[in-house]
Amino acid sequence: MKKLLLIFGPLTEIFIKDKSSFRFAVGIIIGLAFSICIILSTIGIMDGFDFTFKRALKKSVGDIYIYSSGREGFYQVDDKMKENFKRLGITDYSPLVQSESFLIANEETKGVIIRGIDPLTFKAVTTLSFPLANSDVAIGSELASQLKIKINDEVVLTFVSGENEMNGLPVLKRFRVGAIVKHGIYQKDLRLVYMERSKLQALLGMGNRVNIISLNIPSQKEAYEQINEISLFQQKLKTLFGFSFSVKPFWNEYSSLIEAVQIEKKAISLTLQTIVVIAIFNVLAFVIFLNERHSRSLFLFKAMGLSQKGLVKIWFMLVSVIWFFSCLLSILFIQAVDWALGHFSFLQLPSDIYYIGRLNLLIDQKNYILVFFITLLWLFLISWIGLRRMKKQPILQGLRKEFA
Amino acid sequence: MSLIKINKLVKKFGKVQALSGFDLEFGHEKHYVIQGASGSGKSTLLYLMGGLDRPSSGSIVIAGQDLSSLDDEALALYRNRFVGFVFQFHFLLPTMNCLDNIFLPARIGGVETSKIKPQITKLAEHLEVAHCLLKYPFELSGGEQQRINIIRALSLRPKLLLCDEPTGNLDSLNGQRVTVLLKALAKEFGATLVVVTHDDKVASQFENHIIMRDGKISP
Repeated sequence: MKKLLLIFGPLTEIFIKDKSSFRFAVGIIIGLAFSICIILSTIGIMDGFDFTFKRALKKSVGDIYIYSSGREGFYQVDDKMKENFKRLGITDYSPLVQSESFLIANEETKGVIIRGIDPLTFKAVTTLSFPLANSDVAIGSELASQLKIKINDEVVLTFVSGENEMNGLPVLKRFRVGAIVKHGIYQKDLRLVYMERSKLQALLGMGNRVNIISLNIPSQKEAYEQINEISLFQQKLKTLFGFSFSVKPFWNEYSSLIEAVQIEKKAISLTLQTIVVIAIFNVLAFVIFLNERHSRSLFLFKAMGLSQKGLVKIWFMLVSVIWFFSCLLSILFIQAVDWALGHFSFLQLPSDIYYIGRLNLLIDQKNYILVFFITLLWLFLISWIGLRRMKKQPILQGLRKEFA
Repeated sequence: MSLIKINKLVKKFGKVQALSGFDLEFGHEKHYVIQGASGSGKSTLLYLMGGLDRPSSGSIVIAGQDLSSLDDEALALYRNRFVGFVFQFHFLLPTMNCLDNIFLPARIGGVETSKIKPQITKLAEHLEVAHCLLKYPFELSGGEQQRINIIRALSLRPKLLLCDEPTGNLDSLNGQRVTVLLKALAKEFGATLVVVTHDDKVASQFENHIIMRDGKISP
C-alpha cells in the first residue's frame, strides 16, 4: 500500500513512511470510509426500497390500470378502446375482473381480492406466469403460508351474486389450488387470488364485461426509470377515455408511502452529513498532527526551495490520498452492508409494516459522485485551514523555533 | 565585482529590530565569516540572504536581482537552485537513507536524480562517506551526518553556500575538518561561502571577517 501511495507524489512518502503518521492516516481513512458508507447505505436502502417496491407493484398491475368511474363499474372492451390503445402504441393490455371475496381453508377465513384474468395477456403485462386450469385458483404466497395451504389443496371462495333462493346469501364454491404466486409485496401476497376470467365472469354473472384493464406503456426501461413516461401516458389515456374512466399509474395505491420515502431520504441524507463532519474533525486532527510532527521537515523543505504553491500541492495530494482510499474502502463497506442485509435475519424488515421483506441497496452513480464530491470539498476546506496555520509562520521563524 | 549587494538592510520582528540598516557587499567566489554575540543579527542576515524571509526595508541584490522583487515561487526557485544551506543541526530525515536525503533538493526542484547521482557519488567518495549513502542517518556519527548534510547543500551546485554554525555540533577536530572541507568545496564549485560562527578557531581560517553587534556591522 505504501508503494501505491508514492504515485501521488514523491514527497508524500515522507509523511507516510513515518509509522505513527501512517497508522493515524489508516485510522482516518477507515473512519471516513465508514461515514461515507453509512450515508450511501442509507440512501441506497431508501432507493432500494423505492425500486423494489415499485417493481413489485408493477408486477401486480402493469404500468397503468383503467377502471370505470361509473356506478356499475363493469364495461365491455370495445373496438373504440382497442383503437385508442393502438393509437398510443400500446400492445400489452389485459382486461380483468376484480372482486372481493372470502377464502376459507383449514377452518380459517380471510378476506381476499379475487381476480379473473386471461393468463396469456396478464403474463405479457405483469410478467407473472402460473398455471391456471379451468377449475383452479392461484393464491398469494403469504395467504398460502398463513392458512397453511399447499398446491393441490382445496379452498372455498364466497361469491356475492346468484343465490336468490337463499335470500341473497353468498354462493360458496370449491376450488383446487393450482399455483402459489409471489408478487414481492406483503399485502398482494396476502390478499390476491387468481382464476380464469371467463370462470369468474360466469360466477358473477357479468357476461364478458370487465372492470379493470391493466396495461404496459411501450417502453424498454425499468419501471423505476419510467415514472415520467407513465405519467405522460396516463394523461393521454385520460384524454382519450374521458371522465367515465379513471386511469391510474401502478404506484397509485401506495403513492403516499413512496413520497414519504423520498422525503425521508432527503432529510436523512442531510442529517447524516453530520457524520461526515465528525469524520472530518478527525482529518483536522490528522492535519494538525502532521503540522506538528513534520513541521521541521516542512520548514526544511521550504528552506530547500519548496514554494507555498508546492506545499499546497503536497498538502492537497495527501488529502486526496486519504479521500481516494476512503472512497475505495467505503465501496467495500457498502458491499459488506448489502451482503449483511441479504444474509442476516435480524436485518430483514417486518413485511406487514414495510410491505417488502428484504432490503436491497440501490445506489446510482449520481449518489456516489455527490457524496464523494461533498466529502472532498469538506476535506479541502479543512486542509486549507491547516495550511493557513502554517502560512502564518515565516520560514525563518519556523526554522528558529524548530532548530533551536 | 560583488555577487551580493546589501543596501540599508532593516529587519524587525515586532518591536525588536534585528538588523538596523547597513550596507554590505560579498564578492564572487569569496569566503566570509560572520561573527557576533548571540542576538547580534548574524543568523538573520544569513537567512535574509538565503531568501528565507524578506527584509522590513532596504534591499538585497544578488547577481543583479533584488530579492524583494521576487514572488514566492521565484524566491523558492532561488533557494533551490542558487543557495545551499548548511545548518548546525543537519536534520537528515530519519525515515530516509542518506542518498534519499541528499536527493531532497533535487526532488523539490523537479531535477532528475539520475543526473546528479554521479556527482554526488564522487563528492561522497571525496568526503569519505560513500559507504554511508545507503545507510540511515541514525547509523552515522555526527561528523558523517554533517558531511552528508554538506553534500545535500551542494547537490545542485549552488552559487551561494550559507552555513549557520556548521561546526557547532562537532568536536574541535571534526569542526576544523568541516571548515577546511567547506572552503575547498566552495572553491571547487565556484561558490561564495558565508559562514556564521562564534567559534574563533573556525573564524581564524577565513580571510574576510564581518563582525556584527546589535544589528549593525562593527567597523
